[in-house]
Amino acid sequence: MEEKVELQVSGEEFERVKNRVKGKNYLLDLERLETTLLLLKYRHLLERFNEVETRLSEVQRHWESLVEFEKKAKEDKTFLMEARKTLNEENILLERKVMGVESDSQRRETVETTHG
Amino acid sequence: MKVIVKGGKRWKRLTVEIPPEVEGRLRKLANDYGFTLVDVLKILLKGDFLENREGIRREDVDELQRKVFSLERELYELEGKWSPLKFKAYYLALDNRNLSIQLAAIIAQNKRLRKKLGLPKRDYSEIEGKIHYYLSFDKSGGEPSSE
Repeated sequence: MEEKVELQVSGEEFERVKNRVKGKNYLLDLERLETTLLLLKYRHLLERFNEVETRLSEVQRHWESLVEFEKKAKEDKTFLMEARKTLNEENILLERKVMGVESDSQRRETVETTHG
Repeated sequence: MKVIVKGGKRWKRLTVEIPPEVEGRLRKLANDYGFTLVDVLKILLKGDFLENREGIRREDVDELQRKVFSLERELYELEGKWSPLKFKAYYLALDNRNLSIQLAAIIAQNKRLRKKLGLPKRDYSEIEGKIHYYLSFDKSGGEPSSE
């Protein structure tokens, strides 16, 4: 069975199609049609190229800042862990000193009370 | 192939008979340039042709197509690497946030003990700078705005 294709056009376009079809000249325009399709495809590709290029430069910029952030966070983690270790050790020593000072003064107080 | 053109306020109809050899050519053109047969027929029947003032050739289209593919591939590769790194950075920042909470308490204890023992104050500025930075880290995934 023969294939049927339906085209919807505006009133003005309908008249144009009618005139072109009347003389059957449209059948001679296949070269111009191919040039038109070539140009439309070229324009579409150019548009897509610009879109992808813009998106890529955005993603590259974010990527660089993410790489930088990850590197900094890694270095900071080492630094913070080292600081925690150092300060913890110092606090244990200072705590002992405070305990020592407190027990010394307690002892002194006891001696003073006994002798007093 | 029969093309039925409908248009105008009264839905006028026009039937156009496309010879088989022309139909074959139109199908090939549609396929080669990535258009639908309906689009190709519309351009042909309406006579909406473009002038090739820039002198674009088929080779230019192929070259541009290759460039687009290459850029797209680069973009998809970078987007593919993006999520694992973002995940890694996020958990590193969370670790640092937890370390900062612990360090804030340790510093407070250190200050108290030093004061009790009459020792000079220690310089915590570098650590405190990092604590401040990571405590402002947004758990929803955003990086801290500034150090």
